[in-house]
Amino acid sequence: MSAKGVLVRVSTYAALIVMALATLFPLLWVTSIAFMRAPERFAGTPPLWPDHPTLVNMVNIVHQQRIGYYFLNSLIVAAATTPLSVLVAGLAGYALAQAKFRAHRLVSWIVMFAVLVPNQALVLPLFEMFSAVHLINHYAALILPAAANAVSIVLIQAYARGIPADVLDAARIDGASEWRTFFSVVVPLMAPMLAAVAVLTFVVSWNDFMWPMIAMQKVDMQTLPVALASIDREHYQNIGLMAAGATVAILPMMFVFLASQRYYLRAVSAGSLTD
Amino acid sequence: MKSLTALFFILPALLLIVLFVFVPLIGVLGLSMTDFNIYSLANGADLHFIGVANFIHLLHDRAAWQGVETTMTVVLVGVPATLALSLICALMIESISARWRGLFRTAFFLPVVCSTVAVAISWRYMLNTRYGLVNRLLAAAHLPTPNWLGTPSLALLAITVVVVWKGFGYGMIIVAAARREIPDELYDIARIEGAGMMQQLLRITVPMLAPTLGLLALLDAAGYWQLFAEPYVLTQGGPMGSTMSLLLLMYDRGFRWWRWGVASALAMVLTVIMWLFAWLQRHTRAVWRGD
Repeated sequence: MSAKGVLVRVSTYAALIVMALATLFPLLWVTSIAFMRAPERFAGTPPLWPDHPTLVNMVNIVHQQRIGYYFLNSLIVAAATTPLSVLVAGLAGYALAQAKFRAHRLVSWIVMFAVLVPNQALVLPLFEMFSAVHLINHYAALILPAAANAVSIVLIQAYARGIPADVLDAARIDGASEWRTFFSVVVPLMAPMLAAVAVLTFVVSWNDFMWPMIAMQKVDMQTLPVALASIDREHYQNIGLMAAGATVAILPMMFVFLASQRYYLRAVSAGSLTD
Repeated sequence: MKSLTALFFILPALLLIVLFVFVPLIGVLGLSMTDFNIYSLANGADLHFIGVANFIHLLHDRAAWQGVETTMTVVLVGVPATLALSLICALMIESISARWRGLFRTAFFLPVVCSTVAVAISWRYMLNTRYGLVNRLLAAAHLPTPNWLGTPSLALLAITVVVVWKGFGYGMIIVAAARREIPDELYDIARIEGAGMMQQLLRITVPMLAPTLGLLALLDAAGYWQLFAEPYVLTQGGPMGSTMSLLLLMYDRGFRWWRWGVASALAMVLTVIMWLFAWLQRHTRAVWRGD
C-alpha cells in the first residue's frame, strides 16, 4: 500500500474514533454522573468518572420518585403495542402484497395517505375521542392508536412481495386455510421483517412523549418519558437525580438495541428501498 | 387468495387507520373552524362555527409566524447537517475493514434509539454554563463560552445540534445500504482511467447516492417539522419564544390555554406544510429518475 493509502486509512480510523466518542459521550457521561454523590456541588465540570461511585441517586429515583412504577407502565404499553401492531400490519401488509382484489388501489391509497399524516398533530381530537369513551388514563389510550402503524404496513408489504407464489399455492393445495397458510408458511418467511418492525414499534412506543403526556393525566398512569419530564420540571437542579432518571430510560433501550441490532438495522435500511 | 379473505386480513388495519388517523384528521379540520375553548369544554352550546377566522387570527399572530420560522430553521439547517454527517459516516464506515464496521455503526446509531426526553436532559448538562463539558472544551481552546440555552440567537442552534446528533445515525444506515449497491466495477474503471479518490467521490459515489440522499432529506424533514420534546425539555420554547416550534405552540395553546380552535388551526398548518414536503419528495424523485 502506498504511503498516501496508509495515511488515508489511519486518518479514517482516527476520524471515526473521534466521532464515535463524541456521539457516545453525552450518553456515557450522564450514566457516569448518575453514580456521583451530589454532582451539583462540584465547582466546575464534574469528572468524567465518579471518584467514589454511589447508588444514592438510583435509590432516590427509585424510592422517592417511584421510577420503577413508570418504567412498568412504559413496559406494559410497549409490550402490548408491539405484538398487536405487528399482527395487524403483518396481516394487512401480506394481503396487500399477495392478493388481488377490487378495493386494492383504494386501500393502498389510504395506507400511503396515513404515512403522510403527522400523528402528533392529531392529539386534540384524539383526546376528545378517548374522553368520550372514558379511556383517558387507560393503557388502551396509548396502545390502540399505536396499533395502526401505516409505516409498518408499507415495510411488510414491500417485503411480502418477495414471497414466491408457488410456495403459497403448495400450502393451499395441501388444503390449508388462508389463516393457517398465514401462520404456518407466511409468518416464518417474513420473520426477519416482522422482527425488525417489532423492534421499531417497541422503541417508538417506549420513546413516545406528546400523546402519552396528554392521554395520561393521572400521575399513576404516566409512562417513563412523561414522568421523567415532570420530575425534571421540579428537580431541575438535582443533577444526580435527573441523571439517574435519564440513565434508567436510556440503558434498557441500549440493551434492546444491542440484542436485536441485526433486525433493527435491517428495518431502518428497508425503509429506503420501499416503492 | 379470495377477495373476501384478503379484505378480512386488511380489515383490522383499515379500521384502526380510519379510526385513529382519518377521524382525528377530520376532527382537527373541523375544530380549526370553531371557537372551541375552555368554556365550550364545560358547555357544548358555547361552541360556534367561525369559518377561517382562526387562520386569519394566526396570520396576525406573531407567535405563529415565529413558530413557522423556528421550525423551518431547524429543518433547513438540521437536514443538510444531518445528511452531511450521515453521508460522511456511512462512507467512512464502508471504507474500513468489515470487522470494525459493526462497532462504529452501533456507536452512531445508539442516539437514535434513546428516549428523546432522556437525551435532552443529558444535553442540558453538556450545554450548562457552569458544569457543561461543551463550554469547558471551548474555554480550553480559548473560545467564547456563551450561555447556549439562555441566549435567543443561540438556543435554537443548540437544539438543532441535539436533533442532528440524535438523527444522523438513521440516515447513516440507509446511506451505507445504498453505497453497498454501487457496483465495484465503476470504481475499477475509474481507477484505470486515472481518477483520484476525490474524483471517484464526486463523479461516482455522490451521483449514485443522490436519489437516496434526496429521499433521506425529505424523511428527515418530515421528522424535524414535528419537533417537540427537545425544546419542551431544554428550553420550554424560550428564551423569548426563540425555540417555540409549531407543535410546542400547538400544545401550549391547546393544553395550557385550552384554545382548541387556534391550536387545531396550527395543527392544520403543520399538516399542510408536511404535505407540501411530501409533494416535493415525489416531484424531486421523479426528476432524478428522469421521468
